[in-house]
Order: sequence, then C-alpha cells, then structure tokens
Amino acid sequence: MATEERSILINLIGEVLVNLYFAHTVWQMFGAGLATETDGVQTWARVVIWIIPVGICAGIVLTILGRIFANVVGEDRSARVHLDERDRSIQIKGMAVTMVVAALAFIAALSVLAYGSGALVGLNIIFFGFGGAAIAGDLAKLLMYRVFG
Amino acid sequence: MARIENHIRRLRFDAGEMTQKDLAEAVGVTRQTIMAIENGKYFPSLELAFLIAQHFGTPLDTVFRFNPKDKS
Repeated sequence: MATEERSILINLIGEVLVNLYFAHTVWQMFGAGLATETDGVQTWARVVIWIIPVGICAGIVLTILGRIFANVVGEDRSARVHLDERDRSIQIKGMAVTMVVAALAFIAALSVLAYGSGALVGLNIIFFGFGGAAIAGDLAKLLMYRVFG
Repeated sequence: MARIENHIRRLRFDAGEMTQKDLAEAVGVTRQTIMAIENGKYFPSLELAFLIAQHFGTPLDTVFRFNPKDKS
C-alpha cells in the first residue's frame, strides 16, 4: 500500500468515526426532545461548532498514530517519492466525487425544507451529507487506487 | 486491453533486470505508479512518458505504442 493510499484509509476511518459520534449525539439530542424545543436549532449549532474542531483534531491524531503504526509494521521508508502525478490525478477525481455528493446533499436539504420539514432536518441532511461526501470521495480514491489505476 | 500498450517490463528486463523501484526513483514517481503503468491501468503524462523513454535511452514509441484497432 502506497503512502498516499494509506493516508486516505486513515482519513476515511477518522471520518467514519466522527460521523458515527455525531450521529449518536444527534440521536440522543432528538431523544431528549431537541426537535420540540424552541431553541433547538441553536442547541444543534452549539454542538456542531464543537464537533468540527474535535473532528479535525481526531483526524490529526489518527494520522500520527497511523504513521507510527506503519513505521512499526515495517513500511518501506527508503522510497524517495511519496506523492506523484498519479496520486494528484486520483486526488482531483476523488474531490470531484466529494463535490458532487455534497451538492446533492445540499439540494436534498433544500428540497425537504421546501416541502415543509423543519430546519433541524435540513441542517442534519447538510451536515451528514457533507460528511458522507468526504467519505464517498475517499472511497472513490481507494477504489481508483485498487481497481482503476 | 488498452489502446496504448507499453513495453516497460521488457525494457526493464533488458536493462539488467532493473526493479520497478529503481525505475520509479529514476523518473521521480512511486513504485505503485510504475506498476500501474506496466499493467495498463494508468496512462502517464507526456512528461513522464518522455522521462521513462529517456531513462532507457530509447525513442518514445519504443516504450509506448498506440494501437488504434483495439477499441476496448
């Protein structure tokens, strides 16, 4: 597994964990009556404001741990090149997948809002849609590394 | 089969059984990229194609060949 490919895999694990944590938190908030609260949107926003930096920090910690693990299991450290034109090409294609899925999530959120759903539903679709977009982009990159190129 | 075929594996063999890693380091890419090119899964940029040809000291069309009849 190439260095770049391993980085994507570590990112992917981080993204899935953060999204699962957020889903669990939102589920609990809804269970506690968030949807019926008058300041439900504000409460949701306060939680998300904390989850974003926590997600970034978790990604950094996972990347460091992944590098340490790769060194322990004997990665080929003699390789001089870690990122080349094929990696960049795959990054661009993966980013395109991310943008398409994020755009679809945004349109889906607008659609549910247009047809009478609450603001919290729309906000959750946007947040999970963007999280899902990042996951879809990374999965697409891994697929391109393993299957198409 | 790809419409652009390459002869990198044979050229490596002719060059004293050069490894993919040695070729990758010589042209500034990862070993995985050389492997993908050899297997016809990735088509390199013109710059990289010329670098590979230059490394083997052969014209570009000795390394890569366009096969217009193969449309798949």
